Amino acid sequence: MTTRSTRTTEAVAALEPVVLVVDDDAPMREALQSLFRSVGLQVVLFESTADLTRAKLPNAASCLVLDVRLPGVGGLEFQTILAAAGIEIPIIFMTGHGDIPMSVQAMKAGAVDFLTKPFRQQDMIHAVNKALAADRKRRDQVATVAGLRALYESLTARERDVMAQVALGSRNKRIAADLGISEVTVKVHRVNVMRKMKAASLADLVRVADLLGVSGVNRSETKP
Amino acid sequence: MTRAQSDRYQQAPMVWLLGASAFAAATWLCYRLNWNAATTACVYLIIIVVSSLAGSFLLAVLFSLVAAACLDYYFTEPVFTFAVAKVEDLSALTAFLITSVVITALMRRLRLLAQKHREQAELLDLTRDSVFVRDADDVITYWNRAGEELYGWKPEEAVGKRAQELLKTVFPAPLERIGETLQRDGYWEGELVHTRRDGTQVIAASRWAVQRDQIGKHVATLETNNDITERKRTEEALRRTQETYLAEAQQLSRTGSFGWNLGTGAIYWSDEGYRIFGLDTEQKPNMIAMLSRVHPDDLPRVQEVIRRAELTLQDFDVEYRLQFPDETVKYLHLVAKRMASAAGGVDFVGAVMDISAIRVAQLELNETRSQLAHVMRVNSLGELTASIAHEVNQSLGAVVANAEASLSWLDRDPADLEEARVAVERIVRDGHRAGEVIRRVRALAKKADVQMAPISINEIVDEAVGLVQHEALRYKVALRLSRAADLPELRGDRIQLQQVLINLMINGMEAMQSIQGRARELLIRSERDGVDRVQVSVVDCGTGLSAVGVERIFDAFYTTKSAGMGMGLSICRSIIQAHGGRITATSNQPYGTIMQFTLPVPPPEAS
Repeated sequence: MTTRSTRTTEAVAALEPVVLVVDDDAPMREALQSLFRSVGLQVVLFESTADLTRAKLPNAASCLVLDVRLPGVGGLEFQTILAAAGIEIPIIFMTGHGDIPMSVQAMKAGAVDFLTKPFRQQDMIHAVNKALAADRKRRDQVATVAGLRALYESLTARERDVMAQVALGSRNKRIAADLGISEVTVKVHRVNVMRKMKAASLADLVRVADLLGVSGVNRSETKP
Repeated sequence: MTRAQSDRYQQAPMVWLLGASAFAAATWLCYRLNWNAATTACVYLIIIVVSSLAGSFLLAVLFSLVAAACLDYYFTEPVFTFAVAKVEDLSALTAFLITSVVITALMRRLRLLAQKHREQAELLDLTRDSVFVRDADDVITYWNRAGEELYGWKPEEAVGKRAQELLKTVFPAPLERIGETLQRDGYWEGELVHTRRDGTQVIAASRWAVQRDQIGKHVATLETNNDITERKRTEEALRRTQETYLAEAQQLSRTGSFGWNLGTGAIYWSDEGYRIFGLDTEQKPNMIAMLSRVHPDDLPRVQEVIRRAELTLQDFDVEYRLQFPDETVKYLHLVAKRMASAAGGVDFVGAVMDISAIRVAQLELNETRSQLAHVMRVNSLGELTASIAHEVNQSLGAVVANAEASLSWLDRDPADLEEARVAVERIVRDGHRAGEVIRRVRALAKKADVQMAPISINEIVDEAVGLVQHEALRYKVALRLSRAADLPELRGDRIQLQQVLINLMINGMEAMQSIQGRARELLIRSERDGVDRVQVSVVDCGTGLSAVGVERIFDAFYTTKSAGMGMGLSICRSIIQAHGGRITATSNQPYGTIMQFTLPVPPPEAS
């Protein structure tokens, strides 16, 4: 089983979504694998969170189906560890006998769902699909931001300043005064920014600045 | 000074006077009758003999000299002078003198001998033992005074009679045998029964010694008899008393004694033995009657023991039951020891104890113990509920997931029958898994009698570990198993031994609950302990035990837990002890406690 899952990890195509299952009970793992595969999902199985930590995660939309009670580091604890490490992967919890405080804690910490064994297939598939969609969306967003970030990197320092001001909605005259340059120069920079950032409109540029988190921030940074 | 001597000294003056008078009268008479010297010498000799018999050697010697002088003076020519004319007269006088002195000396010797004999006879009369002498024909030749006192016959009545007829002797053994011993050893002793003159009987300790002449011919037997009638009576009374006490003690302790002679097959039972076997004391005990009482289930075993005893002549020790016609059952413990029989051959001597009361109490105790163990087991099952539920639920979860997966595979177009089949097979497997958990729990909860059966300790360890697996998760404890391969098969009750293991493991986990900074690890180890024991250890690295804890941990109601009853380990100990094993608690280094029990490997034949 381990060899198969390892092979699967490597073979996972970038676009195929993957379900990562962590359960210490082998029969349960096998059942989940069959279940997910029957609906066309790729599955990788792990016996413990430690095994998962050691494995290479697939570069595709994925979600984590995690048993609450595990030997070593348990499910809820692992959720905290992932969050602290900045790893954003949607988590669906499974438990034999979940109590309400436990599920509340998990949901508050951002879990997609909290399923009690034995669960219905449609609940699990639904939760997994939801999680994968969210992850796919997150991944797309991350990819978009990364592209924009690259464009942003191509701006000159002055152009970045102008973009920050524009994103805040400042007029050219005000920008010129703030930066101590002529209004014509501001206009030139602004055209360059629009071109380099591939912004179709002012509204588009404002959204991009927001996504990159550069609106206004630059101004205070560049002020001194 | 003896009485005879003093008498003689008192008589001396009279003897002297009489002697002197007789002498003077004889001299005068012979002179008047004008007898010759030879005749007179004869008269003188008679007087000398008589006087020396009367006791005075001195007087006799004096008379001899005076007589010689008188013969010379009055009867030898020339008379009235001491001169002797003829040589033959002188030699006659000398011969007279010598003769008289020799006679005097002989008489004295004779008298001394007689006196000695008399004194010896008097000594025999002094003894309190009855002494008599009988000749080769059993005719009594001597009978002392103590004999008269003992038997009532005077010496003059007894002497000349045949001893056996006079005393109506009863011998302890055939007379020929006694005779042989006497001839061989010259000596015999034993106890005889004699009849007195008044017809009463007397028991005598008798000693016989043989007197032989120079050529070794048996001439006489000296028989000494002591009256031991009283002593015998006291001994008998004492024996009776002791027997009464013994019988009493046997009855009180419900212990009968028995003897069994292998040669004759004869069996002897004490009164309590009869009572235990419910046999009539009139009935002579025998093996068939004895075996007819044995419980049918125990009969083959008892017969085997008896057969082996007859064959090997070894001591034996057997516990079995008796069943009586009214269905009552008695538990017996019989111990027999081999003894050389007095009559030759081999005797088994032993005791048979009625241990019914002990056995019944023991059975009741066991019953109570097993009930208590059951209660504690149910109790610990309560503690394990969450774990058990988890275990069952896990299987159910897998069953449901596999079932739905199977449906999904079938719903595909085209249906993937192979995958569906695999999923269904897993359903079957997981269903059984859940069933197995339930079976184990039910076994633990079942109120079953202790069943000693062949067991594998490793299997028991596995099953117990299976039941606490999730408890270990809850306590965040890693379970480590170290099982020795090819351990011998043991005998025991698997449920109770599982209970012990579960108890020890839960205790170990609880002991590690509060530790920080080191891994919580519980080691369960099975290994051989020497040739005839198997040892199981549960080692934790928890807070450990205090010295007092080590001492008292197995005592009932001793607990270190806030919610504990202190019964768990006490029951563990009674379970292990009932298996003939031992359970101990020792401190582990550097942390924690080693709880350890050993169980004996049954001897091969016992299975």
